[in-house]
Amino acid sequence: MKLEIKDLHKSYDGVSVLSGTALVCEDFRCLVLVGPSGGGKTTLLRVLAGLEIPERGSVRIDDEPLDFEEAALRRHRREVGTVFQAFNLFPHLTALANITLPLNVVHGCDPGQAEARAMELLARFQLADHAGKKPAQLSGGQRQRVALVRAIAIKPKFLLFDEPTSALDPEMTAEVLDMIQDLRQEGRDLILVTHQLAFAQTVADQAAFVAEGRILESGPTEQVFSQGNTEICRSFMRRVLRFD
Amino acid sequence: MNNSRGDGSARVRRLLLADDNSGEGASLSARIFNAILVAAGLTALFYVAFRNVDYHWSWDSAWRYRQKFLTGWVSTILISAAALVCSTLIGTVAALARRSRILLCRYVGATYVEIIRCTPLLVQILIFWYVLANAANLQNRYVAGVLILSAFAGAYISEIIRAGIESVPESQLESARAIGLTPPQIYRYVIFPQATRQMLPPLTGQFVSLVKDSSLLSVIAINELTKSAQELNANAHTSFEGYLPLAVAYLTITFPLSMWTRSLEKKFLYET
Repeated sequence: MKLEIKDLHKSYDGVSVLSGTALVCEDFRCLVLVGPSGGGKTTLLRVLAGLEIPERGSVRIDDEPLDFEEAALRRHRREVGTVFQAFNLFPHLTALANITLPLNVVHGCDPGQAEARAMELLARFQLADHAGKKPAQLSGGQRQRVALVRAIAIKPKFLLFDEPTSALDPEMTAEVLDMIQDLRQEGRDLILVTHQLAFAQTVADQAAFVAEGRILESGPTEQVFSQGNTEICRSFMRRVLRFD
Repeated sequence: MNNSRGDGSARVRRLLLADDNSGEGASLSARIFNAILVAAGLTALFYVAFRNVDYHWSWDSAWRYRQKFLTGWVSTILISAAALVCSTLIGTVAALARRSRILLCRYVGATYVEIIRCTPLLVQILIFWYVLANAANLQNRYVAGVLILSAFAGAYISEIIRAGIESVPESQLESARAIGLTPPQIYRYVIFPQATRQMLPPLTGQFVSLVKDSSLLSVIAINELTKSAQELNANAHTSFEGYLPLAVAYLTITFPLSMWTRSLEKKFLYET
């Protein structure tokens, strides 16, 4: 896919979070956004998900401009699969119902077909036994995997993951990362915010380093991770990759 | 010897103490035993109280007016049922109005809730019936009674609903938005099902109150339960023979209502 971001500005209560974010990324399959906390990664991803309206700037995805008018944004949200850190699932619905709700209500699927599709995906990711459970009965890793299934069940144009493993322990993190790896190998396009840099290196073909509300570096993952042009990027990578 | 005494005291403990704080963890015999204790205490209390009153009972004359009493009981049920439905509707609308982006809606909602909550029901009944209903040429006391009661309970219910809606975490709304739900769909599929769980316990109390509050409608000559008990007493020259059945009659309405909402609570229960 192709992404063009120009001069994005966004602030909350006078505090600037994105200040002139710009990025051109031609032809990637998986883009990873890395950088220090509070640097604007999540806000940028939320703009791409159609959940945040910037004060200024423009976004083009696959040569289509993103229209920041509410009805257009809602159409956009229906076409992308977004997964957050946690609390993606609705606690009053079973895993299965969580997946079929958007299919039935938003995408107008036939209920029988929606259920069949959901069950097929759950089975593919070894979650079939958990279809009838409510989120509280699932482990954190299972919850996130069900959320991933919900995101792909709608046949999205692309996927957006905002630190999907940051609330999980190492074992659960591994199971979720494995699934993301699988999705990637299926050839799905995705944009991902993560602190798992070693994982990012294996899964992403392009990387962008986000700090101070701007994209300071972008390019092939290897290059951004090991030969950054800016001191702030190099020192971030030195500090973080030290333990990977 | 020691052992059997230990067994005995353990048995007494099981009869008197719950296994945990939730109140459900007690054996059947313990529950029956404690229920009998409560009933015995209550009976003793009434026995002592009435023995000192030196009251001359005349249940025969009261019994002659049983038909009137029964009519009152039915009309209280009908008025309460109608008011329960109307007040829930009014409460929902008022709660949504207070969350509306249109400021006028918010102010109207807030003013309604504050006026109702800060004035006595008795005053509201009198003003509504003698001023508003008169001005609107509404002559049916029963319709007026249902409207007043609904408006009164609706204000409290709207606050319960508002609190329930606000108890749904922001992350849920975010998630609902992310999958592309429209605002009405978010209310229908995410907010209301989750808020209901929070709302049911206070709603139970409110519905029971509504039934009891309907007794005040007797002041505008609506022939509901309290009014018929009063008339029964006047006709039969009795007092307790009307009021004791009156209390029991309210219990026959409120207790099942309370049980029903509690069973709804179980239905909406899920862990978070």
